[in-house]
Amino acid sequence: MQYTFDDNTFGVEVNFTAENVEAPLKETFISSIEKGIALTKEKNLPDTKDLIPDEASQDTYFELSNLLSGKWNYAPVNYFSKVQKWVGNVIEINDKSFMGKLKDLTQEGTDEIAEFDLKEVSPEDIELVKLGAGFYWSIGYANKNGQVKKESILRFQRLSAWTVYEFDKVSDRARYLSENLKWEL
Amino acid sequence: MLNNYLQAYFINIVFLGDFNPAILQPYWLLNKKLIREQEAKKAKVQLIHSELVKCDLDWAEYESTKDRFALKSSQEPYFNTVKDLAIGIFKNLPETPLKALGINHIKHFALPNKETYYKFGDKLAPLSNWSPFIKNPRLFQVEIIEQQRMDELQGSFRVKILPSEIVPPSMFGISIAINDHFDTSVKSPRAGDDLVEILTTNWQASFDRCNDVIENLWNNLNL
Repeated sequence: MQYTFDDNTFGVEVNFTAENVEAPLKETFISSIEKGIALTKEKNLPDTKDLIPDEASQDTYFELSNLLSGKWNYAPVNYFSKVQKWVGNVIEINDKSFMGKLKDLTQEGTDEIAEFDLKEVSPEDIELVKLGAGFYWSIGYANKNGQVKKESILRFQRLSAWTVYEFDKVSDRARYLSENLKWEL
Repeated sequence: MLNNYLQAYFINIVFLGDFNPAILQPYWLLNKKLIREQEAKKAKVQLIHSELVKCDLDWAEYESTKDRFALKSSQEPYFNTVKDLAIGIFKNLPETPLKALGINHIKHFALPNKETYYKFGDKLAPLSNWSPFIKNPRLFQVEIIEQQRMDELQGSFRVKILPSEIVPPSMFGISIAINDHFDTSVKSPRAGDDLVEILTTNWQASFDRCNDVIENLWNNLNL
């Protein structure tokens, strides 16, 4: 499949037209709709529209019908601006708070230490608060449907465990470095 | 600094490869502990089909066809979480062949005034070259490609500048879209692991380079 920039930004650019979409992608969309309609008829299912969850069905149909008719309009209205970001690790956990060592991702500088109230942590993230756990903290202005509001967002990392392949790869790399280490005598 | 005029920042991570869209449902993500339970429950599943899935998690949206997976967000505080989610998905699908990766940055700026807005286009592509045979020429968009990456990884780096569709015309909005594109360097069954690793290790570098390119361009234009 040929790789193009337009393909890569698909869905983000506005006023995107089907003519800009690479043929295989466009065909995939069209073929999936056609297959859905064929399946609906074959299985005597309700109308395809009814197979889509209610809340989003209108939007989805609007977008798909626009794509098929040659237009794709996507203009997200919710975004953040003037965001200050940190990445941190938990270094101490207390009864009602935890201490984090922070690295500023917006402006380089020395590491900072900050205390966070556990109430600021989402209940579903509490189990992730462990010594060494990574988290992201951001403050910025949220623009939601035109309304601007200052927000602070704290979110713990959800990372996959290492795979055997990754473990082996790192072990091999460590062995290579160890065997090729040259000491100055 | 052009960043002083930044209004909005969007990110879009795209993988090309061979995917099974139907598996990428919010409850699968929850099962792999990649998202919160409430997020899985409240996710707006717009379409699930064997050839196409499209879902909104509120802080990010993803869509996948059989040969393309895209995960995007317009909410900058979640960009790192978006990256973690992309990595988590493909670490949990190690047999998925991945062929290319794009880290796409789309930044929207509001230039300070009409003169700067005009000069910005005029310096990028001198409009005097088009006079007098084009009446009142204006730059609509410009795209520059680095065909061989500076970091010696396989892929390319593209910069596209065009009027912003987010920042109103009264605020002289421009958008700069950067496609940081990586190809697999090794043609092996585990080549996809390389792309996931590239995403892991080059994520911050991609942001830094994007920022450097934009600021250096702004300084060179000397507006």
